[in-house]
Amino acid sequence: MADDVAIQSEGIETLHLKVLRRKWQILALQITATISLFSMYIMMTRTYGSCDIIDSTSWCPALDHTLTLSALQQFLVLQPDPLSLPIPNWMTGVGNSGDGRYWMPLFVISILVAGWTILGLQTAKLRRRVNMGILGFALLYLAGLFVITWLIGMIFSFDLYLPFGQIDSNKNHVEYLVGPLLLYIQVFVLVFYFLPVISGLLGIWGMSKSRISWAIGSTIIYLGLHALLSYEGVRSTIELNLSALPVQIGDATEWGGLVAPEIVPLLIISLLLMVFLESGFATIRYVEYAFKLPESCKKDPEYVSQFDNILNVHLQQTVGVSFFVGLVTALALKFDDLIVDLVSVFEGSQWSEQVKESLELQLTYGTVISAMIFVIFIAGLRYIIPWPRISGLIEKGIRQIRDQSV
Amino acid sequence: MAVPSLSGVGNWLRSPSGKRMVALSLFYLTLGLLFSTVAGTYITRSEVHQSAYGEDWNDMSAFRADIKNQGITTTSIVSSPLLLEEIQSPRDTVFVVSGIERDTISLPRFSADSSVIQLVEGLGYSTSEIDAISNFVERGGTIVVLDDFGYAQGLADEFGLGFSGHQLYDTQTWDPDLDFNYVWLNITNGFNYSTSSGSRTNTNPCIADEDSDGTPDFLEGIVVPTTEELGLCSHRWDSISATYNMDPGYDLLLNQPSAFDKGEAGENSDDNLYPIGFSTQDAYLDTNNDGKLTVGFSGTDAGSDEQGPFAMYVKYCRSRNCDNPDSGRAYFVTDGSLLVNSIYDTEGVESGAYGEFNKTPDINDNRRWALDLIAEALMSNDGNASISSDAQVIFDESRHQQPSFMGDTYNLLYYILIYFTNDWMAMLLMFLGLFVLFEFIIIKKLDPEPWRHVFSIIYYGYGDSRRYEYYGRANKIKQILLTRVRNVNSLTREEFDALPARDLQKMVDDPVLIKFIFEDRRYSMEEMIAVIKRIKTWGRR
Amino acid sequence: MWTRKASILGAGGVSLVLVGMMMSNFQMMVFGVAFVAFLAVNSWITGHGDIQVVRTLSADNLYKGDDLYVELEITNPSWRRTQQLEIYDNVPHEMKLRSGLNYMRVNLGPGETTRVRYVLRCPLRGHYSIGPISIRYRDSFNLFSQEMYVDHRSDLIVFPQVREIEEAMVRSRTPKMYTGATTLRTPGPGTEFFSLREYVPGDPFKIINWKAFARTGQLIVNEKCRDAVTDVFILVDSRDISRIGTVLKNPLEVGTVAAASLASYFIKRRDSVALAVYDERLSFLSPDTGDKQYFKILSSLAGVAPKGAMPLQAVTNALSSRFSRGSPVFIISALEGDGTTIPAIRDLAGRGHEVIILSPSSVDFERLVSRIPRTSYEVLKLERQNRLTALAGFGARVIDWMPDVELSQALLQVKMG
Repeated sequence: MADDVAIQSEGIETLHLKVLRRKWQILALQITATISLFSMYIMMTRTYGSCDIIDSTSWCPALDHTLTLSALQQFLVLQPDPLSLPIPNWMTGVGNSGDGRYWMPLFVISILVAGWTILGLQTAKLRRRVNMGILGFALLYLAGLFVITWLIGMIFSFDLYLPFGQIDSNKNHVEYLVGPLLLYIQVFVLVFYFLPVISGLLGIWGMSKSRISWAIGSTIIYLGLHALLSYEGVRSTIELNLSALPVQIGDATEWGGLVAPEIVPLLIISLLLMVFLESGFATIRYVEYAFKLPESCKKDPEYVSQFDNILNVHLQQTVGVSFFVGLVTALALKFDDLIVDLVSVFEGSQWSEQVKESLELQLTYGTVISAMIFVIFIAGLRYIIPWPRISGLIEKGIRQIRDQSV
Repeated sequence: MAVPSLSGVGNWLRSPSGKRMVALSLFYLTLGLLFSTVAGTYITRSEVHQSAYGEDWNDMSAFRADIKNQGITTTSIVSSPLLLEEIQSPRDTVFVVSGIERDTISLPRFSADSSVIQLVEGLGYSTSEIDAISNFVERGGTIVVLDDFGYAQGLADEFGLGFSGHQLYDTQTWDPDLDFNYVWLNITNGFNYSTSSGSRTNTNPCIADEDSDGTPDFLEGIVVPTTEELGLCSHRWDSISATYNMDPGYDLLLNQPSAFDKGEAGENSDDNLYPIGFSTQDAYLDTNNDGKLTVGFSGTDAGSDEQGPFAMYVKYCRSRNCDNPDSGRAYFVTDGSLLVNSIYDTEGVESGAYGEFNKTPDINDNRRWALDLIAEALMSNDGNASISSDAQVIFDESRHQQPSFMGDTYNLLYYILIYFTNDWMAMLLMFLGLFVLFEFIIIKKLDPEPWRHVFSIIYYGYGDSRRYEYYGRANKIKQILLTRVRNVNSLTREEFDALPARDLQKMVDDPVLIKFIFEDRRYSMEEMIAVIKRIKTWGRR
Repeated sequence: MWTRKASILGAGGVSLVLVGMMMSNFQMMVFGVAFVAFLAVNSWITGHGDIQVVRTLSADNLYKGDDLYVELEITNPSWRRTQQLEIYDNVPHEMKLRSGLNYMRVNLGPGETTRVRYVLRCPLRGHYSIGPISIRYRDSFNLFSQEMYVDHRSDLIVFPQVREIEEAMVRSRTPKMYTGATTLRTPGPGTEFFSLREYVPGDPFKIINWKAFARTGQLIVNEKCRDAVTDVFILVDSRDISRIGTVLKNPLEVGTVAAASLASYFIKRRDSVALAVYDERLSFLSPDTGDKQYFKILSSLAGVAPKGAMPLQAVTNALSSRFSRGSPVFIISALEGDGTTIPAIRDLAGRGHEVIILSPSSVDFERLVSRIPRTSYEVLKLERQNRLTALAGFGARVIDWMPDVELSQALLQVKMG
């Protein structure tokens, strides 16, 4: 009997972290997550990034960093001693219009995150040194010139004096702090607006669940803030100039008459959010599993092939599920028409007439409620249509065709 | 088949699972009873009438058909008038309430007055709904409230009116061809808002005639107007005689009307409430509800019915004398059946369209009055009879009995949803509910633990500190020493017990141990250790 | 079952729809509907646990401390993909994973097979069962999970270790009266050849000497010498008190090793060995020899667990009729907590049995797990010493077995009675 049980074999492909980082499925998941993150952010800026009054001088809490940076710039220009922001406009996207406002900052962020990720792969000692170096440089940049000039000034004038409020403007060394501070403020503004992207990228490539959660959290907070600030009750109280989305859904003219134009960006944002979330978390979940496997299992071809299976199916399902979620949501939001048609079956009855004409069905309420009913119906379809069996048959068929062709 | 024995059932009832099942059944039984009681209060079956979507003699399908024929959208509200808040263009909207037949579920609410919390809502519309309707009027909407003995009081209160809730008998204007329940309300000029205002026919585009040439302003210069040119005033055009009716008066036929409370019918025009239609002086309100006309000495005697005249049609305008065509209006008539098919559509009645109804009402102005007010609300007053594309008439079907149980349930579900997303108190409760749900999920919903093989072998352990203490006592040590002495000398227990002390001392042959055996005293730890050491070495010599 | 993530997503979706309605904000409603739609679409993809599992073990019986190789062959016989399954083979927690893992995440396509291989070390004797196989379905997005199991179990016995004691037995001062099977010069069932004789009806065919038959044409059978066999009785104390110490080092554990080793030694010498284990009751294996008896003894010893408090005298009384006359009796006991020890052994010795007591020093085992005060320890030891001395006084050979002493060493320490 003892001879029947073989020990674990070793294959060429393994599940070591170094190999996994270069595995195409993992990379595909990471790239999918990254693309969805970028697209989601761009879609969000398109939907939530405009003010009511389009005017270069007006500021509103829209999701557009250039508004804040321009307002800051204008404030600085109006100072008696005009100043300018240290990071140039071509880099921050100020002055551009449309999506052009975001590409450059996104590119810079990507470079920085790439650097950070590569740094994460180095030894702890090197990482610590680089971190210390960056921190030291930041501190030196902030206060270095100020402290040096102040000390030298005091040495040369043989006098102890405060670095501000002096009649001799050369002795107001505190002015050296303004430049660096402006840079930090500018960076802070950029980080604030691009927080979902920054933490999302760090999460995807640095394999950190908490950072992906941060990205999702900050996105939801931005959406929630926009919803709150554009809420009629708030808008009537505070003048914010924030462009609000229309209250009612219009006629379905997009996607072959399935969806109203107001819904399209929202639907895409929610889909991209889910794709980002699922791909980002999945990468970490799978790599974590492989990482925790004992050494012998990492080399075992059975584990490797099943790991591949899992990743391949996940990728397939990401595509399939995203498509179907989009379709089902679009159909669901169109379902109110279908309800009216269904009610028409009882043509001529008092109830069907009043339901057909009911305001409830015409307002967003009806649309959403009927959409929820449709979604529940779709969920219930699983008991009627054997999806797994159908997909299994298709898979088997594909395999047979492939085997025959081989 | 196995029949459970009585004792078996008894045992099961006494078992924890049995007790649990009984408790659960009782709980669900109570819950079911509670629910059915509450639901039963609201879903009481009764006759279906006054619906704009019903075709019976006591429904209002003819009125709705007229509006539709004029090219205006008709819609219904099946859940709650709270939805009026969602109307984007209230100025182009008329909200028709014909009979508020039932109450519905509502929660206690916070109020601004000293009572802080208002535990009981009035019957009919809830306070939030009344606020929504009032707000609708404020935003320029028009409402038409036709009710007699229903639940319109709450809404009327909001506008400073009081429905008496008693049937009105008019000895002068009752219709002898029909019966005493049918009463005529004759209005010479429907646009005499107040004694000082004079006739304000210009407030209605159908009869606005600034130059007083007998042709309405919007038809100025047109001899034979087309249907399009007539707009919403086509009902005033007689195509046979090619004449346009400019009569500002209305003879309205009412069925079992009520009246507004005296003194509350807003004779004071300061609050923009204009009583327009009155009963005659010989009208009596059946205040004692005996179903008979009881005339008292002064008309105010206890037990006698109250004598007229009573206001029966009151118009409210947001603007003074309804001068601003874009401001909101409210029409209150104390008869819910003013626009029912049997009275509204006399031609239809004659042609037998409403089979059940066997009376033949006289020709009346109910239709003209109703369509006039629709025109006033929806047609522009700028002389060209334009109608907004958003123009719509909404019928409140939320407080009408539905012909099917399914319809009632559908409406109730919608009502609950809309109530919980619009009423502040209900919203607060729902927020709390959602919060609790999330808390519950976060605390209780745990994912299954990952499987991991844990190598653990049970630690048997053993130890008894009291036992250790016992083995440290001098008596125990003494006993062990004696056993040792006995063993070394190969003596039985009896032999050893019978041994004289001197012999024992000889056997032991160690002064310290002998002293230890014979002396009964407390020993210090050090002494004890020394004794044990000696015992250990004792046998080996 | 919905996972926490799905519950939050579902509740979040519904909340967004409701809050959207409250705020007349249809973007929230659209997000909410999309969330719920995500759940609905994902609910279509359901995995299944209808898999075939075959477990193969490298051995059904093994000795304590040996390695066991396990292989699970998992096949998806259905036409559906299993979707993401976690396969976990339930291994007794007393076994240690040496290499590999008893867990794998799979996603088996229709007809696909995979194998999970791992190696277990079994540090504790006993009767074990590996299995069932737990299966947990999870969808790709971790929204739904469902647990199932395949009730496939494999039983195995871990025998106590058997030590080599021959040398110790030879060198020990234990009398060599039971010197193993000796051939008596009389025919009978045995192992050594005695003579040839003619076949008589009833003789088994297997003893026919075919060569002689070929040569002579007559049926001749081989006759063997009858083996003279000594019956050795081994009494193992498995009372509750014998668990003193750690799980791997306690009087019972070392006692089973000693009993197994003695049995092995004597059975190898073709003696008959009987085993009596007493805990809350008495289990007795009648004297016999051969591999079968050896297996029975090991199997019985593998299953002993400390329980009960049966006095030794009850055991000896119960067995008195079964003890072969003058046969040696090994008693493996810590001799704790039993007032009948001395009379029982006195009686045994009195009846002419050679009594050898192998007594693991329970006080010293106890010391491995408890901090016994020095004075108490010394007194306890003295008391134990008294007890052993008393027993030796009745003619028993007593071995005071300390925890860190090997069995073979301990056997050399026999005290003469």
